[in-house]
Amino acid sequence: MRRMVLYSAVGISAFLTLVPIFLVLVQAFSAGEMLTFPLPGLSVKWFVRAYTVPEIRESFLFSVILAVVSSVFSVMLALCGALYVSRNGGVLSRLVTILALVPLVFPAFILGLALLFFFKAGGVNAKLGLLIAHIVISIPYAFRPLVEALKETPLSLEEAAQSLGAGPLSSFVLVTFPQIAAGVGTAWVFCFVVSFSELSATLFLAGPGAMTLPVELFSYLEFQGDQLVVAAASTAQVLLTLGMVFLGNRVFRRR
Amino acid sequence: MKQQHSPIDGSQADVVLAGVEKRYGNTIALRSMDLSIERGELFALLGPSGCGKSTTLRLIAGFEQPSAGRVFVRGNDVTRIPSSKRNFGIVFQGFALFPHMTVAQNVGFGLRMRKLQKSEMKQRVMSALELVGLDHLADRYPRQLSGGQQQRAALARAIVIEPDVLVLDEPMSALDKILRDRMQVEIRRIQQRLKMTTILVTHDQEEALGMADRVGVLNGGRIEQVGTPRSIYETPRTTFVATFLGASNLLTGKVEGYDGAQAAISVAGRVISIPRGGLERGATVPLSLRPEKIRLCAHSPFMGKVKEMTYKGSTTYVEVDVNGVSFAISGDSAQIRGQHCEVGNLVGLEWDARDVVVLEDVAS
Repeated sequence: MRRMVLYSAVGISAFLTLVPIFLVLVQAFSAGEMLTFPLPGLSVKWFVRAYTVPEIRESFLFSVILAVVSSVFSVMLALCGALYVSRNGGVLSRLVTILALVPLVFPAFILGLALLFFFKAGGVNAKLGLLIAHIVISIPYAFRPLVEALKETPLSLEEAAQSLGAGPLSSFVLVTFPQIAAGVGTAWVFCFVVSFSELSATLFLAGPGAMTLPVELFSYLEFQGDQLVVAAASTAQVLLTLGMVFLGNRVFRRR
Repeated sequence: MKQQHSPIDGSQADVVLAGVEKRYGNTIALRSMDLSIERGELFALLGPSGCGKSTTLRLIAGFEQPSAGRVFVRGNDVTRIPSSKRNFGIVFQGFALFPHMTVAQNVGFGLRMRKLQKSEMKQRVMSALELVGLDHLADRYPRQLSGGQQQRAALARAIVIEPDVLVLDEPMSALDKILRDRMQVEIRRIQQRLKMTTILVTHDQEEALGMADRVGVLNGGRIEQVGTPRSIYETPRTTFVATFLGASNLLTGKVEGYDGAQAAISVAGRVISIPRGGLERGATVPLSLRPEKIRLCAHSPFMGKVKEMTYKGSTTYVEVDVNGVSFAISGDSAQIRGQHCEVGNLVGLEWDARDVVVLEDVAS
């Protein structure tokens, strides 16, 4: 009986989340002109058409670059915080943890609005603004796996390296980093995916020349209404994300 | 590497702690410790967990800095010198081998940091591995080794750099009993062969007594006694040392007076004389008497009833009640049987006067 409840709960949630996504993915390959089911035929014409829309093409590229750059910064910043937190107790350590994780509980929508006012006041341009926002939003996703990975790595390894003559930097690079490489990889993939699909804060901060794919698709759908173009572009986004996760799993799989 | 040269007295001391103290906030981990470890000796820091021995080790190794006092190595003040420049070989508790490196790479790490030539490095790594009997496993990863092999690898990694001081932090704690006994002998053999000044940190009294030239017993962040294994075992200075190093009968005596150089002390209603001066007449003093120093006999001023007997093979443990004071005796099984020792029987106890040790602290 219990099992029945569990299975139906899992089944319903899987159905509600996966089926609509699956439908979008399938529709993107439609040969027809409208959202119809079953598909009138298979083709990639909507991908071609999405690619020919300059705004979509440019925003796709911009999103990829933004995700790559912001995720690298997020991981580096989160690593600094995680190194401190995993080795020190006390008030400062707890404060760093809270600061790193707060974007997770804080609505991104409000964060976007706040950053918009802040950047306007400070004269920060849209690209830099988006970069900063994406770094802030993805830091918690990097911080968690990094802290976990560092806590699993005994400090005595680093001390052993130092007693053998390695300075702080070489003991980190040669001994600690190889232990946490899988965690760093996971962190980076998380950050990439978060940045790549971020919408709510980005809505406030995007502007001409600094338009991400989700925001572009959002407004494209609103004004042009060409649903299948959007489906194709979304599919491209989902496939890239899945590819990243798959690659991350492959490369950084725990030994 | 710049070091301040600060002359100390002309002794052969290799490592000197001078008034070293360590506080964490309001807690005092170490109280003003003075310690001098001689060149080539194996010195054991022995104590229960939380006694400050790990802190002492971390200060000596340079992982932490003392709140007060100075650390000298071969006459040089190293108090502010980081671990990476101290040239100490450390065998960590749990070994801390680098998991992503082979045994040879682990052992070669210190030489790599010293920028040695490839050929010389290889040769020194191999001879260190040969010394610990691990040359056939040079290409294995730590996780492919047994506990004993991991320890040998950790030892090889520590000695290959030809350290000024070798530090062993609870080196046997990850090993089982049989392996532990074997590694104690082996580490001692290697240490004596290389004549390396070695500090052993341990909570295991057998390990300390069996391996060390000298032992420092720590308790509550303070050194209670330093001496050869024999001297600290036979003549403990405090109740803590007497009980931490094996079993002991802790007795309470009262100083009755002096007969020449012999102090007359009453214990369990009888007076014994101890060759010891400087005790105040009428004072109550704590005494220690090791169970194996007591012999059973037919007649003695100390007659008592056998309360308990436990046969342990070659030795037998006997508990005898003398005027309400309980004595634990551990003796040769044959000798004890020869004294018609059975529960309920009356037996006599005797010992040599010098085996009763007057302790310096207040009996609890």
